Amino acid sequence: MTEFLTFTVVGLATGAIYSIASAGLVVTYTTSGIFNFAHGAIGMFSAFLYWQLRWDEGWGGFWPAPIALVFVLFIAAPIIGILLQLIVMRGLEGTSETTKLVIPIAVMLAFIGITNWVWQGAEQRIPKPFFGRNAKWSIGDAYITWHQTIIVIAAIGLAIALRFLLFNTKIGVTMRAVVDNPELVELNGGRPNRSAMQSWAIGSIMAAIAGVLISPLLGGLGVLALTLLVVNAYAAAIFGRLKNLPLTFIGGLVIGLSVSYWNWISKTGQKWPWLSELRTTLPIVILFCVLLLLPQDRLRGNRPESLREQFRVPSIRATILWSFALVSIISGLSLIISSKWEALLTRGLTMAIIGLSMVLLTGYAGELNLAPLAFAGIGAIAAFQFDVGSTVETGPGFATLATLLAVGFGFLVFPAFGLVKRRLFIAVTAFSLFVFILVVFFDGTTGTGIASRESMSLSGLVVAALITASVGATVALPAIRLRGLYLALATFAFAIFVDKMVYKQRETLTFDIPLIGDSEDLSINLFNNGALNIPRPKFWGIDFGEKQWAMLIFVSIIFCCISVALIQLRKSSYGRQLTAMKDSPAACATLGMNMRRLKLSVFTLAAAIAGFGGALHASNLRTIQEDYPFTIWEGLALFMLTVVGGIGYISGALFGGIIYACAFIVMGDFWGKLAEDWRSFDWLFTFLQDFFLLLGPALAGIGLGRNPSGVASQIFDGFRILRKRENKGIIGIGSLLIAFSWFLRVIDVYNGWIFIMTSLPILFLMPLLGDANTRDRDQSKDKSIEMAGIDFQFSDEFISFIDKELSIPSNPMWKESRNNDE
Amino acid sequence: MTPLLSLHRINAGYAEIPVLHDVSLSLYPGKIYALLGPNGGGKSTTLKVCSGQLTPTSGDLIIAGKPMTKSNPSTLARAGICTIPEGKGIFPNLTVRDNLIMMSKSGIPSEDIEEVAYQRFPQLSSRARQTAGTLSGGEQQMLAMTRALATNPAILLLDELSMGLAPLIVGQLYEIVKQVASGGVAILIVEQFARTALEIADTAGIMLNGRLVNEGRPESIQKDLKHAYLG
Ligand SMILES: Nc1ncnc2c1ncn2[C@@H]1O[C@H](COP(=O)(O)OP(=O)(O)OP(=O)(O)O)[C@@H](O)[C@H]1O
Ligand SMILES: [Mg+2]
Repeated sequence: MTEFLTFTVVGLATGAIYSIASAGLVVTYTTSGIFNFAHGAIGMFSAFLYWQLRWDEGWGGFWPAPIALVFVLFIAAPIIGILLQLIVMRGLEGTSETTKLVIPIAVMLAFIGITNWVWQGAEQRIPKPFFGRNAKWSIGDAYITWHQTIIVIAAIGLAIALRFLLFNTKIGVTMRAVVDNPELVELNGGRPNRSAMQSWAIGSIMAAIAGVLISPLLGGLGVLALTLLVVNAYAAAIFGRLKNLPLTFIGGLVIGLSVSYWNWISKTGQKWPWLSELRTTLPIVILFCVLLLLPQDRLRGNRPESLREQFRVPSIRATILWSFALVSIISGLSLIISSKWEALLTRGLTMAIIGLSMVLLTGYAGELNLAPLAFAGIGAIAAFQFDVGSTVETGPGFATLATLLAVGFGFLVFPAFGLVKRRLFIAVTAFSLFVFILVVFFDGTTGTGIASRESMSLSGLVVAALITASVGATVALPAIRLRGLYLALATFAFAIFVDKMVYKQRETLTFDIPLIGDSEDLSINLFNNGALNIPRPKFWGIDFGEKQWAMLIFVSIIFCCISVALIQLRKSSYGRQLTAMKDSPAACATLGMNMRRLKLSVFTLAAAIAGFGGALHASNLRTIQEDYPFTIWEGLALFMLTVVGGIGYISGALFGGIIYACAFIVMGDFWGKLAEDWRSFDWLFTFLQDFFLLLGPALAGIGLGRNPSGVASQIFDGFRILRKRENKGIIGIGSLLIAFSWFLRVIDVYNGWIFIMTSLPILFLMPLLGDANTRDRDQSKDKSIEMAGIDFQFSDEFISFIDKELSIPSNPMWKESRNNDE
Repeated sequence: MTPLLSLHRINAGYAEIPVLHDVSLSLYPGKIYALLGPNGGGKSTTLKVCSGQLTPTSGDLIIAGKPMTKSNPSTLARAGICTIPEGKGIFPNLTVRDNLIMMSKSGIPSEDIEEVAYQRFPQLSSRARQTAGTLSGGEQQMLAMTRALATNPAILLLDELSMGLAPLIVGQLYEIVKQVASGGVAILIVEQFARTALEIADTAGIMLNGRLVNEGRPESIQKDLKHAYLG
């Protein structure tokens, strides 16, 4: 009984904190329509700030609790909220759901970056509970600390105050009205901006309160742990469907209590070791379940005309041309860059392949997936376990499994491409036969297993894709009704689940594979001891392990193949269905399209691409760890950068992958090296280095608001002018010059820097020259001579142009008389 | 009599596209002005200029003798202009009650507003806790009207009040418009559905391609109207 009471008290206290945090989330959501992903990070930041003011030896430090509290909660937090609204969130009106999601994610990453930056070092930071650890009172034998008491009182007080504010005061009602119809609020004499600022201030105060209250319950302050802890509150907010405050509060308590009781039952995770991480994952599991059970909003037609994004589809021919260009550029580069750069570029390209899965899923089909790297990680694990791993006995059982997976994949995805009935049957049979042959004969996986395999095989990659596809389908199946934000949250929950339950799994799991018998049981040690060694591929007589450049070119060819396939797919009837689904699900439903199958197939396909890319990425890195490179944070950053690049475009994925893997690291390195070379400016360069490493991606994401269609498309637009016939010469000469410079670099006339310094300016000069060239011609072409002086003004150039066209000698007298007129 | 609101040689448009050309009109206290014309004529645009949602490229907006061309909608609203925009005069996700509270300015307690509203439209009182988006089209317009009237505006701008409503309800709403006008409020109604509007109007104008082509007594306008619609 005493135990029960103790766990109840603990559960209530954490639950109350979740309630507070989620209430803040609901306030910002109902009043701005933006789901503030950064909410957890604001709480985390505030906890750090509070710790700094109260206990640090450095700046701040030793402020009395009330003053520190007032400062953190009622000065810093509202300022953060107001600044967020003013600088970032205000620009989100009229943007798509994707942009509305990505920018708060970018803000979250920014807060994580800033906190990591300000509070560097591995120093233990331990905040104390209010009134110290020993201030407690008791019910029977169960002790209740003052900290817990304060938490519960604060939660109740805040609940009542918020409810009153939102429903019974003009300020609150106005805040809710702004979401509905800001124009009408203005016509009523209200000020929507001020209202939004108020609500963001309130939201961020709530986050700060939660952060400050929850931090003493952890061992010490940790950036990611604290952020995730507040993220747990998202489940509570979903309980209340993001608008119902009382339900949200109950949701918070339910989550707190279930975690606490689970701890009690499982003896803080010791009873069932393979479930030990469920302690931290339970809220996320609850989030997933609540999302699934929640009655969904009815389908609403989007208003495409109000969106600022627009994506064009290039032709197949152009895509193939660009592919050849990309592969040859990369091959050319591989001759002149060091292997470190080659490794970075390869990383970028494998990431870009994973990015392609997002282009398909989010860019084409409009389905948000925040777990791209969770799928990639599963792909890598699958490749390890079934291809190169040491734990799984592969034999006939494995071949059967792979074939079954292939059959499932075929039946799920092929119909989407118009294969039905007999043709579907033939295609599926052919595909599974292909997989079977690949697995059994080419990789010799019959018999003893492949424990001693030293390289990744083609079948490994295919099996990785197939297994990830089946996982993708399994996740998508229940989530199929979800759309937009809810789908994003469900995938986010899945990503956290994979982070904790899969990557941190240390136990050996044993599965019975039905039909095959005991000897074929599958025992898997999912993530060994926190690191998996995944070797490079080796086929067609090329050892990709030894030659980084071979890997680079191989990966770039694969990227191009998938890209061409995707463009082909986008142009097919399937692609048009996806676009239709993205534009207006409601219209699709009324047209009688089978959206479930469409969604399921696109999810499966995207997961397959991600898994394939993940296996490649892992094999390129050779080792993956539990905290690199497939974590939720990396996944969010990749998703964000792909959106920045332009998620509707192949080039967006390329941009996202390469920027993600190389740009910030290179920039950081660059400043770091300068810092070494120029000791006296050390502080400046170190600052810049940290800046780019920690904040670069986040700031890139925040800047996106200005340009929702993506950066890549803008760059391409810049080069589009070169396609005109009159500019062919410019391309020719420019390319020749760059090729020449490249040649000089190859024969070692000069070093890499000079190559960059010569070729980049030429590259960027080309569109400028083209632009100028075209304008010149337009000027003389488009203006019809009859309209001179009516449509446009006479100019000296124009007169000389007429003179030239009519081949009359130019007449200085005429010019003079005109000048005199003026 | 000085006009409460007057537009003086307004030119306005969206981005690069000019819509209004040299539009001048005046609203007088207690009088109803009906602005009629075919689709895309620029009626709603004129109304947006009056309410401050659209800043004209040239010309003046004068409220009670004061030039207020550059003011934003909320300033104008505080100055006593009340607008029911085309088709979306309510907050669909708020309850009927909250919709009414939204209008309360300091000084008028929300209870009073509710009481007046329910007196005028008894249907609404049973729906006080329903979200406004679930009301029928007619009830929504009623709500929009009461909301607008709750603040005792000096000038009332109504865009297509009759859109999608049965003639009976339109008649009922116009009856109220007439009552309000008799209380000294200057009213601008923008309408497609000319006949009922002309019945209650004191002055009427026809807008064609962004120009006010005809203005005068309703009876005289009636004759020209056919002409305007048929080209
Ligand atoms: N936000 C906008 N952006 C660009 N053009 C607009 C915008 N709103 C209206 N227009 C254009 O301005 C012109 C006049 O529109 P307006 O809404 O004033 O017409 P209206 O007379 O109210 O028509 P209706 O009777 O159909 O409501 C139309 O040609 C319309 O296309
Ligand atoms: Mg109109």
